[in-house]
Amino acid sequence: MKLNYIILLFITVLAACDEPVTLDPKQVDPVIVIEGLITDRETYQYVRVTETVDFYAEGGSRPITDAEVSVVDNEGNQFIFEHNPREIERLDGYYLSENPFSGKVGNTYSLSVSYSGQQYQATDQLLRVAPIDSLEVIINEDEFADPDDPNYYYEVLFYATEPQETDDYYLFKFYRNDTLILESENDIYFSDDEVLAEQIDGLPTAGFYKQGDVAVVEMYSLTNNAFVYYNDLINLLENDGGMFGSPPVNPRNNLSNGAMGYFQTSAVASDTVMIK
Amino acid sequence: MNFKAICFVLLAAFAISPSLAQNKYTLNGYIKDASNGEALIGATLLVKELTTGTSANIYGFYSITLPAGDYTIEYRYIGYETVIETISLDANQKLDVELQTESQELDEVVITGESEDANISEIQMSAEKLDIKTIEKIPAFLGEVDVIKSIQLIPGVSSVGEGSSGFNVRGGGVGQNLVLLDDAPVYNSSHLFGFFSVFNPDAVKDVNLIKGAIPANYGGRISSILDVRMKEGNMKEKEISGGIGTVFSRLAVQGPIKKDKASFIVAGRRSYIDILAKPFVDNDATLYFYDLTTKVNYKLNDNNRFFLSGYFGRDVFKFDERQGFDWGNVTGTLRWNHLFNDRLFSNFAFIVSSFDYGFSFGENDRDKFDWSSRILTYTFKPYFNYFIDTNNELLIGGEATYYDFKPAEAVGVSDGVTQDISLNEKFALESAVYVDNTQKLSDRLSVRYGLRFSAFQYFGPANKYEFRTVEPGERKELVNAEPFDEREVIKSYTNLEPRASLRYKLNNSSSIKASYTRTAQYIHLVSNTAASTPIDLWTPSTNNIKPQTGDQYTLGYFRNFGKGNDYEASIEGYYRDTDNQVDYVKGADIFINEFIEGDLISGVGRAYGLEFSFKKNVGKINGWLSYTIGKSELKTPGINRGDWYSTRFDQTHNLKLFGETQLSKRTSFSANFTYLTGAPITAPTSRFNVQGLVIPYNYYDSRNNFRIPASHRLDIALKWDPTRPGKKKKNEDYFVFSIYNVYGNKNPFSLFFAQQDGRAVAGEAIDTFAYQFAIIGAPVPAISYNFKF
Repeated sequence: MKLNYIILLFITVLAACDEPVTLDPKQVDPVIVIEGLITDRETYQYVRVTETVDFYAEGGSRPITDAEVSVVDNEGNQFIFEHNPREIERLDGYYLSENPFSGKVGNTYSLSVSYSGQQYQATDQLLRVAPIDSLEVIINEDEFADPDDPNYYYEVLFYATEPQETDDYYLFKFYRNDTLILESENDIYFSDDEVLAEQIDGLPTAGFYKQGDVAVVEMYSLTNNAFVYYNDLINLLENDGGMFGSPPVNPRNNLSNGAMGYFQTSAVASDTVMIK
Repeated sequence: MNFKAICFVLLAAFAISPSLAQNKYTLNGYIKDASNGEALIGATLLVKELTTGTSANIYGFYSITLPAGDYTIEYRYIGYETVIETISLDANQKLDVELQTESQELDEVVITGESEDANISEIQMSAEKLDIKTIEKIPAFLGEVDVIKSIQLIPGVSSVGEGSSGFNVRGGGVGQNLVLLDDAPVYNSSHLFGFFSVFNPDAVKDVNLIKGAIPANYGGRISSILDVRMKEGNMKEKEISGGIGTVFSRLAVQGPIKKDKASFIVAGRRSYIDILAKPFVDNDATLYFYDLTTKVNYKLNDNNRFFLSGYFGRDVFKFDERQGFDWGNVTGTLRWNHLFNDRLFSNFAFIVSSFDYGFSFGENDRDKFDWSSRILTYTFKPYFNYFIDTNNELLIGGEATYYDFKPAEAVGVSDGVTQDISLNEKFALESAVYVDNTQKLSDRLSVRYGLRFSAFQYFGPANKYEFRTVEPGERKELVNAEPFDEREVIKSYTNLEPRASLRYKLNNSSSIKASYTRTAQYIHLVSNTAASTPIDLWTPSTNNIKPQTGDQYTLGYFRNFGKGNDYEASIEGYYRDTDNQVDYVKGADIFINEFIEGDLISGVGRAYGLEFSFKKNVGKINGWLSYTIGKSELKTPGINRGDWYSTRFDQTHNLKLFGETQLSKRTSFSANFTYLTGAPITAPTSRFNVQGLVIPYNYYDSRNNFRIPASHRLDIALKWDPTRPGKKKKNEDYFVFSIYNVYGNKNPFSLFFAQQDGRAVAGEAIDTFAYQFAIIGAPVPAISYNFKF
């Protein structure tokens, strides 16, 4: 809700201030975090397994390197995942499929992870994605007049046709020369098709480009469960403990046994345009 | 329907009729302030010969029936000179009495507008009366006197944070308080997001907060009643008062329209940060509020008097010409006081009240979003006050309120395509009848008992939604929607609400009081946040949302010390059990949600605590000390794993100290200190990373598992009269210099959780932090000038 910003704006007029604090830490056990992604692209698919750390601790999620990970589809095909086969340190916690494979639209995939005597399961359906019709490059007048970054005043608009007879959900990723673009660091771009409407006509994408850049737009199909998960994530980021926002709740996901994260299967539509 | 039961109770109550012995006559009339003719609410009279007495009701009316004879009668009101009348009562007699304010206010400071021993002699417990003179003495934020901020100095009253709107009583929610302005319900009592309240101190006469032992004539909320009474307007002479402050200016004009027959008061306020900021703001951004409080009254004859009062207020906050946010209340009350006979006083009130807010976003007509919401109510309240005899005073009355809720009228335009996402209106009728008797059983024991029967109908045109619980704590699934016609009842509820309180005088300086109160609440303030905001939504009970009910038990010991009751002390314990407290499913969406009922769940609550109060009413330094230790918890299926959890208003310690002293004839000094336990919040215990995002994680998915740090603050004020000593003057004017938060404590208002700048790169560490946010982290000095002539 926008209201907290309004209130903040008002109260900063007064002698408002903030400073870091540490609430008395409560020692809690780590919880397993599993994030998997199976797409319809022929590639080494991945599952990442980590565990939570204390809120005020330093460092990121701790990788779990000795879990057993496998995926089975509704046709009975089984895919075994191996931990960091090339032993690259920064990929600790990542499990890659033994062989490259592509997910099939309409199939259901079930993940099972076994770690430290516990079993974790998740199921997701790989839904079709609406194809991207085209990308258009325009000059954004406002940015042109007063660019935040010099020369970055090109904007990419995207066009697609969305089948409205089904309820569909999409996740978007925008890249500038292979780098993910985020207008602010906690952004996740996703939507239901009610907001998008049937004819997606020149929907602006995130960020601005300069001449010579390569822009890539990726559109991932999501199930309703995944949409709920991303929605919950957004609500959680920068929560104020329930003062002006609703009390934070852990994101709802498709994993069993209290695991965090999400097992996502998506069809991907992608288009590339050169800025010139 | 329990109609028979009610009739029975009514009959039983009337059966306590006066012994119809011969030669009894009634003395009645009004007790008023001699300077302006304002009714003195709760002024007492004492019949010396019989050591009995009575007190004036909220309209200043009293009636006492005595055997024929000669009597010396004392009329008393704190801060006023006692008037002694000798009368020969050989027929029914009418005697209006006017009391003069005490001439030298030097060492006599008004703390309460009651008789000296009210602390121990009144039956009412768990209540606090503040008159406007007291409120004006409390050092105020930015020097602006405020009713809601003042009642937060009363034991058992708190708020979730500095500058947050509304107030919490004995661990209850903001929406569980009934706020009345001249009988009209006020659905949102804040200006400027809660820094100030809607009550203009120039127009307020008397404020009564009832935290427990709620008499049967009040109902509809389970936590407390805040009854604010407006001045009637000076009957004697024209009076202009006002003030120039840091945030706003006030002006009030009052006077007789026809002397001792009709008078009026008009009081207005307007904030002016926007005007001062104008030269520094380049677009049309603005933030201001204004309000107008007005009242006229007309005395047709001795038996009939009419009052018409109104309040109109609005807050406006604009980012630019097109975008902004505004909200406001409108209330109107028409009251007719009618005296049926010497002992039967009645009042009929017709009330309209509304609260609405609106949002506008969007830079042009092709892309915009307009959203407004409103609650509108009409109420009729008959009230009969029957002074049966010196030992019994009966109240009988009723209340009927028609509700029209318009949860959202919302239209979005995106790329020129208009989409209307307005929600259906909701309609309801809340009604109640009550009987209440105050009975003196002996010199020591007095009781007050009553019964309120309340009913609620939720009716069409509307859809009756039926939901299925998938898993407790998760959004309920809609299974059926059945349309209902206009006036067709979808769901009705009834409740019997017994009330009882007693006072037993142990001796002349101490008493014990106890009470039991059952209350039902049919409309709910839906707010998924700890801080109350103007966009909180009132919603009726439906087939899915049951009325909230509360049972409160209180027990207290009251003791006065010193000659003339110089010191008052009390200790009160309370316990309140509540049912069907509204809570929210995980990730509840409460705005513009037609199926909001599917996002609301109900739980049970319990709140208990002890309140200590000590007052020094006379002497060079006087003031009070109050301390509350309390707990307030909820238990809701699916939330916090089904275990008890603290409510967001749970406050363990609440300490307030107020002191005032007269430094010289022209200057007085006051100070107050508060110490409050921090409000509970829901905070993460751990975190994890996904897709480069850092996600906070709450291990038990527990609710309100942490507390923000405690807060404490000292405020001071100096009142200075610029008139040279010895110089007699008719006008009254003074300056108030105040400092809020003297030692600049950074009191936490809320916490934010953030992560270090930059997005996480796979395998690279990223740290998270909690920040505490203080709204007022520095001393805030202010100066205001007030005048009256």
